[in-house]
Amino acid sequence: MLLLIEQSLNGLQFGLLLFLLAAGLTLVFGIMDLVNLAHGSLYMMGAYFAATFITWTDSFVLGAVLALGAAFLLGVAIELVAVRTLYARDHLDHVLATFGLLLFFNELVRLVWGPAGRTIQLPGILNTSVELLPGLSYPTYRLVVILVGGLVAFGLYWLVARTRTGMRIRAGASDREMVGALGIDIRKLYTLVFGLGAVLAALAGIMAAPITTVSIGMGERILIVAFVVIVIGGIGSIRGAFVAALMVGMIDTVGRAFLPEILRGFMSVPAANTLAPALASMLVYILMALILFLRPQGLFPARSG
Amino acid sequence: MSDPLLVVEAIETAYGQSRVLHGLSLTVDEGEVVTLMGRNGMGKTTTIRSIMGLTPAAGGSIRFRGREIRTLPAYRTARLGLGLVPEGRRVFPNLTVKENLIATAAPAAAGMRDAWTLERTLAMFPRLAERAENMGNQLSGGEQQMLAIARALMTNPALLILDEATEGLAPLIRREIWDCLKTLKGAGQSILVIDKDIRALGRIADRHYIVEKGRIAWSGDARTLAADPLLHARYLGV
Repeated sequence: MLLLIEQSLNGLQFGLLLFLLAAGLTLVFGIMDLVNLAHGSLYMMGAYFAATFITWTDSFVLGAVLALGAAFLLGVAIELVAVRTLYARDHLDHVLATFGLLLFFNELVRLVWGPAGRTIQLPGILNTSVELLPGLSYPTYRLVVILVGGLVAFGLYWLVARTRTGMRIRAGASDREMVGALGIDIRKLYTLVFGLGAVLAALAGIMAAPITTVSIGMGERILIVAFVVIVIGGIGSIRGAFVAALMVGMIDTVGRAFLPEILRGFMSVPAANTLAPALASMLVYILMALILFLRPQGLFPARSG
Repeated sequence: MSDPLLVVEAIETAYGQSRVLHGLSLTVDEGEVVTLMGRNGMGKTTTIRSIMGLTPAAGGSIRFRGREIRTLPAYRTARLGLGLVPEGRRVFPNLTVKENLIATAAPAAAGMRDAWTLERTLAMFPRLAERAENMGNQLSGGEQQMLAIARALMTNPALLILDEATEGLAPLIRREIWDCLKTLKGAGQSILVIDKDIRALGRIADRHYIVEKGRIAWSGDARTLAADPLLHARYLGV
């Protein structure tokens, strides 16, 4: 039981990180109709920026905030220089060009930070555990990740659902030309959305860094899962991305933890031990296939409302 | 007499290789209601799209309050004071009625009387007030058209442009839309309108243009149009 609670918290934390990454991806895909394979690079760049700024400033929080600012500027620059020229083109061009960006950023990191990974040390106050229940202590930092992820998710929901900027973003997802004909500079809005997506991706990268490591290619592994999330949630839908990210995070984490035990219930131990890890890593894709079969537009199709 | 509000002079517009407008010209004065009539495919919508900057004209001149706007992107044209009610209404289906109205609203230009606010707009269209929290795609065609007009008014335009004001709507709703345009005219709103209902247009419009194959084939006031049945047969197919 305690293990289930602990793994559920891990699932929640992974889900929220996935949401931060998927939110930008789904906005950019849903509104600009742009497939951005370089979104994971922003996740990675956020983590590397943080590694450097935390060393410079000797403060985890200050370093992280500076890294978010840098990620925003980087996102805006990428949009203005490269991505802006892609909107009018088709998806194959998007994939080729943003894959090029992905390779570019991996090489850039190799040049600037070197091929070896970095680790981000947590400050002492975060590097502790909290006893949630008798016998269940949970790392403080992971709780902070859950808290920050939850707050940002709420803030993003508020931005998209309640503000005029959010209304324009949603309106742009359904009829971009009409938004322009009513006096809104849609190009500027796109740049802003791309920058916002970059900040969210970087935040996910920064928060994941102390738990995993900062390394080249860290963005690609999680990007695939983030794409699964936005397909399940319905492309363009923030709410869908949120629900799907939590589902995927939970199923992936809890599945990995409990599948071996469940399988052992009705097959031999060696067979279960072989099958469980393979099946666990397939779970989210099985979920995606299932949802695509039942609801091809995803859980919350954005375009129809 | 001051300069006209909108001057379109010999514009040429093409979609790719196929040219639609061949030197089309028209003007709209301050406070005037002007119509564009003609059969389908003659270039009425393209004229509107050229004025708005959605399909920029390749040649000619479009001046709004004396300022050249032919090459401006649509959002800058709109900000100068052109409010579009597009063909097909194009309300935002995934926004509520209220959100449709406030998402792109703009404050009135200095010196403009009676700015359009949410309250005033909803007072003009009580039906939209009732449905304020409904999504755009939950509205009937007539309600969508009212919303499209209200949405354009919320940008406080100096010139309201309607592409197919009442197409596909029930007679009762049509009457409501025409009444609404009449009220707007009474308040001094300049309007450029496309529609097929020649009698209704005749009642509210000051002047008419008939578009034929990308040019203005005829222009004149309502009385002249009504007095000449040949015009109807020749250009309007009625």
